[in-house]
Amino acid sequence: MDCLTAKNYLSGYYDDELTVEMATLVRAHIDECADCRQELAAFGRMGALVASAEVPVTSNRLWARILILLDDASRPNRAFTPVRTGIPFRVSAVVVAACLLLGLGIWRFGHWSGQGHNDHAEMAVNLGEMISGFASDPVAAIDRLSTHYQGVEVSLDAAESLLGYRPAIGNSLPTGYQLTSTRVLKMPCCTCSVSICTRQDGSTFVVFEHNEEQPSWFGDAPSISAKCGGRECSVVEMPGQLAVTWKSGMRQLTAIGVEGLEEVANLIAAVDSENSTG
Amino acid sequence: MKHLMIQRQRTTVCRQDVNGEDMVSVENTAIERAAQGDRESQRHIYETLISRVHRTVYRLVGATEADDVTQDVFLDLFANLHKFRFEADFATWAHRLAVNGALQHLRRVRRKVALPLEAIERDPEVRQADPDLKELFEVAFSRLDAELRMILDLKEAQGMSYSQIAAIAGIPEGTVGSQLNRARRELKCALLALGWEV
Repeated sequence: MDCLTAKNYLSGYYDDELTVEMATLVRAHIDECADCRQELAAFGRMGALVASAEVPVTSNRLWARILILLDDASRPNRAFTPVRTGIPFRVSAVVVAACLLLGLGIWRFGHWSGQGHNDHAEMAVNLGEMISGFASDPVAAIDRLSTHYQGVEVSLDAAESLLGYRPAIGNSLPTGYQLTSTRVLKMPCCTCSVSICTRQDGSTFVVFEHNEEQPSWFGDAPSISAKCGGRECSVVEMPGQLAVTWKSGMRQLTAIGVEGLEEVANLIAAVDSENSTG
Repeated sequence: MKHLMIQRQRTTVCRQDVNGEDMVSVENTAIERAAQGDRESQRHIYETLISRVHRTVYRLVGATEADDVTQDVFLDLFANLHKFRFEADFATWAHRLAVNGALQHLRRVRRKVALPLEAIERDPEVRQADPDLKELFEVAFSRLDAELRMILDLKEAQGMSYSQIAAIAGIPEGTVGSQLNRARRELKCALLALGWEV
């Protein structure tokens, strides 16, 4: 057997996958050929490298994420449909019966203006508690809300798979800001994303996003209309901070914990830029 | 209506891996219950397969997206569990879903994971320093096509036979040897270019 032919069977020989007859022929050639012996030795060394190569472990939350999606898939009015075929996700009209933003609009620190549904009333209370606690400990505040509404921390890709759209804020934060994490929440009215963003000084604000137009975010809480970054915004004052909602294309966004209208304008400009190129 | 065909009462078992451990052992009853939505059985299947499925997916799509693609693979697996024919090997069937899912993902994103080899060669930190061999290997390994990385990993790290690799990768068994030849040759070239001494 010549060297060229032997080399074609070298992997089969090394992996013990050849017939007895072919293995005998290859072995006879190897006994005479230093080059092929060297090649086999290299196979062994490389195989050891492959076998010992470390693979990152899966996220501890992976099964939890799968479980949420399995549970949701078995519900008649599913909230999550991971996009696997490239066909855009269509949120069930039943799921979008009311809106997170209407619930946020009722967050007058626990006051519900009379919608009458236990889940929505409870949501208003929870949102009010989140916002009232946000100034002192924003991460804890969002954690409590997230835990209550089966929030799952996901990548932007996974959020897109779950929601049918990619959170705009994820790819569009201005310089000096960082996306810390993205979560998907199963609110009573609908499913939304909430992105936790960090400034250079380590302080935090969050941005909720919906892909549906929403009525008034803040119910009858005192608010002002302002034009920021070319967008009409509704602004509510929080302790030392602002909560602002605006519409960008098909997206409704609400930022909580922003530090002023200039910051709002920067966020709006960044999101609009992303939406125009995305 | 889902129809489960029980061919014979047996446990679906694969060969041992290179470490001498049983690769997969999933009872038919667990598969049947999981197909009907039993969460405990589904979790059992997940915990049995996750290490190897994730590894295969990781070798195809890289670290950043491995978790997300693995998630989709398992959702797909559970959604299609009623289609599993019990005369087939369960782990192989699951791996095939993983490969299909990962390759579909790669086609969607249409981007390469690897760095250009020329850039690595010119990088003084790689050439002059004494790079950790494992790091050097990862760089070289990333240079291979995703399918070659997967096949080499299935063989060397997961100890699969040519017939299993063929079933998972969806290629004729007769071409597995030539694909491994190619993978080993290209890996060697990439390692040598980075200063690895054979």
